[in-house]
Amino acid sequence: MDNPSLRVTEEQIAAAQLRLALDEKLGRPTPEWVRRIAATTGVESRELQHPSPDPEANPVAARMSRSEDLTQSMDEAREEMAAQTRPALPARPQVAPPPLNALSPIQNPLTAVMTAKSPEDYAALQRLVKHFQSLPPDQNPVAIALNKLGNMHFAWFAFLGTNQLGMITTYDGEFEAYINNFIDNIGDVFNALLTHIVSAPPLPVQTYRQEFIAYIRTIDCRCVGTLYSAYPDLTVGDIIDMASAVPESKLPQQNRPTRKPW
Amino acid sequence: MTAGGALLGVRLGVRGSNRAEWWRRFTWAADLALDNSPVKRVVGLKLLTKLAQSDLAQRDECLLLDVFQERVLDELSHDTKPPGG
Repeated sequence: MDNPSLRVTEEQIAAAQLRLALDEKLGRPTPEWVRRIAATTGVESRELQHPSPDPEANPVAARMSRSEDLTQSMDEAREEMAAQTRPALPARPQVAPPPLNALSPIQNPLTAVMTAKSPEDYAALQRLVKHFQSLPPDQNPVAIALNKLGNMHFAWFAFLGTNQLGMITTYDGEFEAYINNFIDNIGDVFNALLTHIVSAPPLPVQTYRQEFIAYIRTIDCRCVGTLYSAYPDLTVGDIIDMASAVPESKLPQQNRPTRKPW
Repeated sequence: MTAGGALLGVRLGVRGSNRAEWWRRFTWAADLALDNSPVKRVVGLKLLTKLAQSDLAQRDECLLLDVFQERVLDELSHDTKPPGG
């Protein structure tokens, strides 16, 4: 083979980008191979042409070319994180695959699992969340903010096991914009919660936005496969518009909307 | 003269405060960059790159950041650079 490929991981790309930034700052020359790794983009292709044509003469390169590709290693990492943070769940019954139009819905899931620093912190988290939840909707800062955001389908807190708090939501649009909206509207709620959480980002979240966004990415257990949605093309706004177009008296009793704090 | 001294003091105070924030962010990013989880290590390295690009990162800070990329790239360097390169 004339140009055997060398697989590089996301970590190696990030390290090469750091090297590039430092070389610019320090006025050092950057080796070409570092530039090539740093310039590697896209999730699908992580292969670089390796300058050494003979893997046998280069055992490390041969080992690396056999290593897992990025997608696989990222999936494994997510599984590893999920195993660390999720409680054991009972086996679920097999269900039929979703209809074609339910694939890649406009809605997105967030399953953020946070671990309390200690039993005392876990108790404090329970008190905080119960306090918010006990407030009437018009006084609950979280409910007020979520109504204002207008892109949240569902959101709830759940205590998992004996030391974890889950924040589970379904929202419309892009992740980063969604988290920035969170920071703008209920940043102080997160400031209060995160003081009790292990490996929390620096606070306040309003000051350390990028760190908070990065933190939420690391604690998001992600959706296995694709999110199922019965209405994959509808945003919160669409649904509210349609609901308001139907007189409440025409809706079946069980379908009448009720407003509860989340 | 007194006003000039006060202004300089305020500026130095702000810069000191910014440097303290830089350091706080650095310690958090460094912890991530050394985590057992590959996902967290990637996030940590990306945050360190942002910190390297900050005006607050002077030569000493850059040399400190250098350790993190060397840790990852050292193994690759023997394999990817062309012979004699």
